[in-house]
Amino acid sequence: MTKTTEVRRAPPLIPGMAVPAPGLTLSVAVISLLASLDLTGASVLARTLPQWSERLAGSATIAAAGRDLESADAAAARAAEILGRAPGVLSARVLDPSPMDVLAARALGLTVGGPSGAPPRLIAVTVRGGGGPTADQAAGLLRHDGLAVAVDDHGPWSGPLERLGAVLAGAMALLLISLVAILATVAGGSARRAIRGRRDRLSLLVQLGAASATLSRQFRGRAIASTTLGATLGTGAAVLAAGALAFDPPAAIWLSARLPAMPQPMALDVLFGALWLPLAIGIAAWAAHRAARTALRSLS
Amino acid sequence: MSRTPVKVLNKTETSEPVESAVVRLLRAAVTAGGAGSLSFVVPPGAAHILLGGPGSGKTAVLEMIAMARPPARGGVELFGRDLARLRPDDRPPLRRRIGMVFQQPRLVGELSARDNLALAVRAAGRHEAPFETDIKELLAWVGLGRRSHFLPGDLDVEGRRRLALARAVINRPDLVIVDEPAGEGSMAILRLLADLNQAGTPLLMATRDEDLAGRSGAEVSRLGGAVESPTPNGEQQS
Repeated sequence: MTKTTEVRRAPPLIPGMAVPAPGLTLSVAVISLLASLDLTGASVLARTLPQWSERLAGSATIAAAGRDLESADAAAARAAEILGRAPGVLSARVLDPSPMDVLAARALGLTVGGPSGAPPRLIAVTVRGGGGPTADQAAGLLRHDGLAVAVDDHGPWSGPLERLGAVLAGAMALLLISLVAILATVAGGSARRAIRGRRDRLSLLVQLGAASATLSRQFRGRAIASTTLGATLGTGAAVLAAGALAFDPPAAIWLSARLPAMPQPMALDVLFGALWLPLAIGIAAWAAHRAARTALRSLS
Repeated sequence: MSRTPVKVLNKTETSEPVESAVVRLLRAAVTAGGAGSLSFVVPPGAAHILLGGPGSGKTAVLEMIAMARPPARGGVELFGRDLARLRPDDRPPLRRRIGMVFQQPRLVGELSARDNLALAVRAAGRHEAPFETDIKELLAWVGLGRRSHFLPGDLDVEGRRRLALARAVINRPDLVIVDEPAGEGSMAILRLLADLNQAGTPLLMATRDEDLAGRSGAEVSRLGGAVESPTPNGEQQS
């Protein structure tokens, strides 16, 4: 003979509290995604801007065009060679041709075209900090050798770039704080709405002797469940987004050419998720508990 | 329906200290103006009846004692505590010492008879499991032993009232408050209430039935409004 034992699950004290709130879960997911991407952006900025600034301080772009029968390619190669021999110059490299070179050269003030009408070529020059030739000296040196050139000293861009970095870092920090505040507001609002929708049951429970701490624990528990799910989904989406950005071949090539110090965004977001999850749960639990205690006061 | 006193209801064996008065009202009034004030005392183990017609404020007085509404003036003491001086956190433990049978039973429609009782246990912050026997015993006491899985909507009016009474006493209250037990099936409820009072639980009951108040032998406090009096042929009239 077999004996069956019925396993009975007690119905929830307050209806609907055993499942996460869809609205809160979705809101937390979006907030977590934005917070993760915000942190990724801040980290990339913090790592790359100082390097960019340092590079700009000791670099220049030179647009070279051929004169007479000399082609732009030959003129650029000759300019790179001349500059490469100059004291204090670390490197002088002819950049790969690009359709944008015409616009870049025009922006630098070089409108001279070669005999074939070919666009000027760009040369990237890096000098030793404080030791290389100035922009004027480099231009004079090349013009002396019969080259039509325009020199853009990147140094003056260094200061504004650093200021821009500070502004962006501040904006990102502000955004993160705002997202935390929004999370607390959303969690509190969700608890208040849930209480409004269950007023009859709650007033009965209060009359039966339920302590407001017991009741608010139910709303806190629901906020924790919703936030755990939402934050996991949100940071998971951020990890995938960062991963797609880092590993998508064209994007990876584009990024690695411009941001050599780019950190692994996926790993960064995973780390952020590990920190964000308990923070978000703590904030949502606190906000829901506080809102519930306040809202339940009117019933008791 | 079982008439055997059930263990859970027996208050005579309690070892807890007993206050000199379970309820004490001193010139208490529900509204600030017009209506008169009320003074009475319910001693431990006693039964007390509030007699008044419709709209006389019986329910409001009961709600005031059950801390569902504050008194407009006067003093209300419950188990020796002045309700005006209670902090919000002091109220739930006192409410747990009261079993309230509302005029409308206020049962949870989606929960079975058994789960309605279990809800009251859990609302009081207790675990359900140790109360399993009490729940069965009380459902049998009110005559719902075989209908424990019924939803309140599947029970008749009397069944719902009995269930409401069982829920009121599941947490072994020190005072049972009943609002208008008269009506369909009232005799069965009144017998259960008599059992309860005999087992030592103080009763505070509101009714418009003067005959019931007279027959009960309990202390009666009269409120305003026309009450129902018995006619010579036994019918009730307001």
